[in-house]
Amino acid sequence: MPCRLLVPRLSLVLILLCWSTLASAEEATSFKDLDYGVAFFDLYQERYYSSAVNLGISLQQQKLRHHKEEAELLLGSMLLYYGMHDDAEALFTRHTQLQQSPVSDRAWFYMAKLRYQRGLHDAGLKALLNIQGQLPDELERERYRLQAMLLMAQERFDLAAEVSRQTQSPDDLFAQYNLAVALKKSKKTKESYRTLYRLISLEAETPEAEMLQHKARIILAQIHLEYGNTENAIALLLKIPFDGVFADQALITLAWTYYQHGESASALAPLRLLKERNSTDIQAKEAWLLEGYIQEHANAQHEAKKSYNNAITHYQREINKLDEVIDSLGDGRFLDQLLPQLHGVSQGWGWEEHLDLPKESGPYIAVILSRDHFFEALKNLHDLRYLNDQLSTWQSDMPSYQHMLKLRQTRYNEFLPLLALVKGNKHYESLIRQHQQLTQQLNEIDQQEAIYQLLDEKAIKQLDRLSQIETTLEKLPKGDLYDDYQQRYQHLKGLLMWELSASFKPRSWQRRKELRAQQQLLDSAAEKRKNLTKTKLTTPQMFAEYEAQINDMGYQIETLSQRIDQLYTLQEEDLLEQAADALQQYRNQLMLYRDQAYYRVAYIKDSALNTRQVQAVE
Amino acid sequence: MRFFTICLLLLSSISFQAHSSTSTSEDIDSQLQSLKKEIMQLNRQLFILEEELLYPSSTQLAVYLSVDVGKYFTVDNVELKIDGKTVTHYLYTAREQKALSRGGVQRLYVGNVHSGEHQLTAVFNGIGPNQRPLQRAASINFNKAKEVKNIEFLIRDDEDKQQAQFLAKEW
Repeated sequence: MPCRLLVPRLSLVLILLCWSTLASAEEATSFKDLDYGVAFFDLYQERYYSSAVNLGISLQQQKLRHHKEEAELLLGSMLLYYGMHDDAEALFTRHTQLQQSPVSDRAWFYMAKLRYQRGLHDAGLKALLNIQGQLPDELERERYRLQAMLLMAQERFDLAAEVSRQTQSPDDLFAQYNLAVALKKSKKTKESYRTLYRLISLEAETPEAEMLQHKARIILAQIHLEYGNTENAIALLLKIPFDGVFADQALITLAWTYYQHGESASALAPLRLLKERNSTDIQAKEAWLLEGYIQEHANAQHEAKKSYNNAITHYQREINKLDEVIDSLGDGRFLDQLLPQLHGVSQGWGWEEHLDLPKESGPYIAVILSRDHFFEALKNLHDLRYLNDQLSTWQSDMPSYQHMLKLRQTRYNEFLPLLALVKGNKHYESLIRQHQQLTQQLNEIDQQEAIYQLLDEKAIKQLDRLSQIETTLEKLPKGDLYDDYQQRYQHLKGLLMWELSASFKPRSWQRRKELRAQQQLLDSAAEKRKNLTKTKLTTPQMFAEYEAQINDMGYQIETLSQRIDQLYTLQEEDLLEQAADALQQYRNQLMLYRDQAYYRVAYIKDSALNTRQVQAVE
Repeated sequence: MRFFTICLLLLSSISFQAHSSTSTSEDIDSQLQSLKKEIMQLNRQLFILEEELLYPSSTQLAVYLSVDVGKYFTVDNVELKIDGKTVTHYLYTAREQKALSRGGVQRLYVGNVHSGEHQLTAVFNGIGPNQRPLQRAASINFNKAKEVKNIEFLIRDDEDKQQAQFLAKEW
């Protein structure tokens, strides 16, 4: 994969990783909505698509009351990752327009990022200017990096350098590199030179960082070359592996440096190495021409002519091969080998690192891949494949949904006789009547203040005993003893009546409380009966709606599949057109080199002829 | 003099200008975005439909698991029981363990229960302090009404006791 392609993709992944950092910086239990935490569970496992889908559902179902703004921003950044720029922009724009959105600064940042990706550099810078406060650490660093990149894209190198200088971290190799490039472009060569030297002196902890250092060495060598310090340039270039990504550029620069240093013989060695590498890099192709040029200027006209002729043969052979490859693009072999690899992999990025490139187009695949837009087109095809796979899965799942619905219908049908039983049961109505009677009775008792009512067992027993005493007393002969018993009986009766009278209100209250509790139970039963009736009435309608929904989804899947097929064909054609175009441009360049070689051969021949004629005249 | 051109090209890396087939590409991009949007929307609809068909809110029980820090306990697997009956047994991958310890919340189980009183128990097996295997359980009694019932199990570090707490709460 071309190195420059790494940057935007990495930055997209970085955005999502930033989210991880931001969230983990908070307390782990600080999620106030469970679904928001679930989205992060997916996000932390790099399952971005399911995280985005679930987040969308939770937002739709209004389950993210406490994290709505954050969730929308997160969803926006994931949509951005999946190339859904328009939807992402709509989400970000909403937050930038909200007066007091707690995430407006971050929304502006993402807007800037989005605009940078779309090449809207001025709008991107304006978006960054709208950030009022400080962003979280990771994003704050990214913000200034983005600002520098936007400025560089506008060729405002002075400002880009200024921004990079102010914000760069000494151990951030990528930031250092950007700073050095900005400085060099703004003609501050000395500063650029110092920055690059600092960069190559740092420890490269990743292969990407190592590649960046080699790139820096080439720029440093070029600076040395500009100032005539060829020895230093050579020393730097010799540190670059001649079998790595930057080998072509290093070798050609080395050859040129040796030549500048007056070591023509040494200059030929890297050129021969380059020729052996048989790279398709257009700079490497110049080696064939440069060999003759160096020999020509070293007064080795015969060797130079031979080299130029070799170059003509080489370029012509390459041009012929290219013609074949361009033809082969049309017969489908190129895509046949490339596209099956896009099957069954998830959306987004990452798949391209494992791509086994078609051998059909020989070494020229690098020429095609060197175009950013080709990768975008390939990614689109990849995404379309993924979407198609997804639709196929859903299509095959549709009978399951029908089955689920049938199951629900079966359960509903099983429930119907039970419902009829409940409805037919008269017990509920009798309970209602009983409750009403009891309430009526209690009202009457209360009204009459019937203290002998609502008695507990103890009071009933006491009343019984009093009654028995009264009966016994009636049988007793009148006399002193009778009077004494009668008096005691009256006393006890008075006491009991007083007690019954005093406890009447609490007893009545207790009964009312019991009746209220019963009323609640009856209400709940009524609610359940109502729900059951409602369920009975609405369920068939609900089933019909589900059925319609399932059918509609099936239809949607079919229509979407057709649209995917159409778009896939369109994208395939576009991809082939781009590949052919890249090869054609490369071919034109080779033709230019071939013609230059023809010109030099003619020139040498002319010079030789002139020399012989002069010698003959003399 | 033509060689000066070549040399200049050597010093400034050559890059081909991208062909301006932008209008086709933009059209494709716009169509693709629209397709992605519709498919994502369809995905959501399918998810909701599936949930509504399989787990209606009147019977739905959703169980979540979260871990606060996880210094004293790393969950290896969990067994979930409703009213003493095992409904799921979940084994964690290293990736899931990491996602949990970073604060992610796992939707561990979605199922159906009848309305009324129930008991939910989670039995956690994992690695405790000093790398020793540890089994702990947490239980909660809950009343299922007609709304969706969400219950979260939380494994939290107790710094004072230098051990993990296993809690359950209703949402």
